[in-house]
Amino acid sequence: MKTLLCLWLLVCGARLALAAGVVHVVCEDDKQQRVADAVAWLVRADGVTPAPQPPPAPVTIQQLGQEFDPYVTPVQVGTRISFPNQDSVQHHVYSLSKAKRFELPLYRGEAREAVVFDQPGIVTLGCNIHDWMIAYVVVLPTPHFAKSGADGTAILSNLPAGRYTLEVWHPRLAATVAREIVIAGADAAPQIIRLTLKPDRRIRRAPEAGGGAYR
Amino acid sequence: MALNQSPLTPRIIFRRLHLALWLSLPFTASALFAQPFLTSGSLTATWHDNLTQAVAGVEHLAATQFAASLAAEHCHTLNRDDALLLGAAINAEAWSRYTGLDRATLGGQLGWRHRFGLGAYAPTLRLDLATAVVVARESARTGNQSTATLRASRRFSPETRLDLAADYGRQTARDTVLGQQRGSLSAEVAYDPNPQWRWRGRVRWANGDVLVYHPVTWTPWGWQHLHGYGAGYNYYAFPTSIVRTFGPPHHAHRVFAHTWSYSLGVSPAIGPRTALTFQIERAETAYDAISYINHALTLGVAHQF
Ligand SMILES: [Cu+2]
Repeated sequence: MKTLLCLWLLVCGARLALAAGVVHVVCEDDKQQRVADAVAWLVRADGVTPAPQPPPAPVTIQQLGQEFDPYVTPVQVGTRISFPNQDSVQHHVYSLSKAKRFELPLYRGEAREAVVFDQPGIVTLGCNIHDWMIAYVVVLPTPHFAKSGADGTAILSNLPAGRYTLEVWHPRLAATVAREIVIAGADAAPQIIRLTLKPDRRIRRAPEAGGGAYR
Repeated sequence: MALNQSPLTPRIIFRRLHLALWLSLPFTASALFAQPFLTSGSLTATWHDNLTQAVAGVEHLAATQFAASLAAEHCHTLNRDDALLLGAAINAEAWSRYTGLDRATLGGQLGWRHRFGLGAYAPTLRLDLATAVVVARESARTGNQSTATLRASRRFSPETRLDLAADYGRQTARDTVLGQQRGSLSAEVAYDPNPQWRWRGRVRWANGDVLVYHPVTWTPWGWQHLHGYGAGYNYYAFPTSIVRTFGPPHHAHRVFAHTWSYSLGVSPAIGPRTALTFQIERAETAYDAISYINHALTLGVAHQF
């Protein structure tokens, strides 16, 4: 009886998965160049968005070569992030963002403990020692999200049919771009999102003749 | 070194400083091999139009200075806001025409940085004490140099940064006439329209010793200025020496002057850790009623390892 029930559940699950939609969000700039590191997410417009299910293990943002890696990390509300330092120099990771203010004072190797990102919003990370180091955590109230790769495409899968609001964010965007989409079948049409990017405002790292390493 | 043991306080302070910095040098020298140090190097070529600091064009001598430098800096953070900075630098300078000016320096640097708050936009105050041994091809110019620099910096946006600095430097030389002391105040604005390009403008006011050279000729009344420039001015009131740096004999007069200099630079990054630099500088120096102008044009490349 138990085995039968399990089998039935499995079949139902597989059917549900087949019915679940996939949407390809293609991010392009004004010159039709593909844009990497854009975060796309969906919230239900016609119902209740499933509650975020943060992964049990912490997500990792490492510091390597005196840079954060990855540059952009989308997570669900409640996700824990650890910040291991792979460099031999110390880093001092901090955020002054409203969605998460924190500081990991000076460390090498593993950070003392993972940081819980418990509020939705954009969190800008910096290093108090190396001014050029910057990274973003996009904390989302939905389990449906993806980040665009080098080909500019973010793939959102396992989407139950319905109406959604698709939102896209990028570090060089003045405001998120939103549009409504409908997921009906297994494969929805690709969503091409045009992003008007501002100039890159990262602090320059390259040194100058006569200037010190730390200023 | 024939240093007077006069009770001049700055002199005594600098001597003690020397000692402290030299003691720390073996530690800082490991900078070049150990990773917790940020190591950077640069190559520059600077064309100077008026090496002799001459008033009259006929006495202007121009030459190009090629410099290579390797520096390592270690940031030892004390707490959230304070860091000690320990550095070592080695420098080699070669001159296109007047090789007597060629020199090498090896030095150490000790700094303290305080940040008023957290992050890249917090104002920063930094004090640096640096010292170096100077070995010049012309042995009369061999000696050591010390500099104290206080710098206040503030970044207003990812693009804009303002630096205000005050420094005091002292250089000794075997020929004491060729030693100099000078202080300066400067303001610099750096503007990076994007992470690749940087524009930089600086205004600086300096006050202290400068070496002014005049070609001289031997006469029955002793060495006389060749062109008669400055004849109405009593240069002999200043410490004077004869140098052969420029071929024919020149007087080196150590005069006390003030200088206004203006420089504009542009620096395109050619990689995340490599940048080129182009800079033009104009300086106007005056002592009493006499003034002269210098121009310098620099091309360089810097890399952070
Ligand atoms: Cu850092």
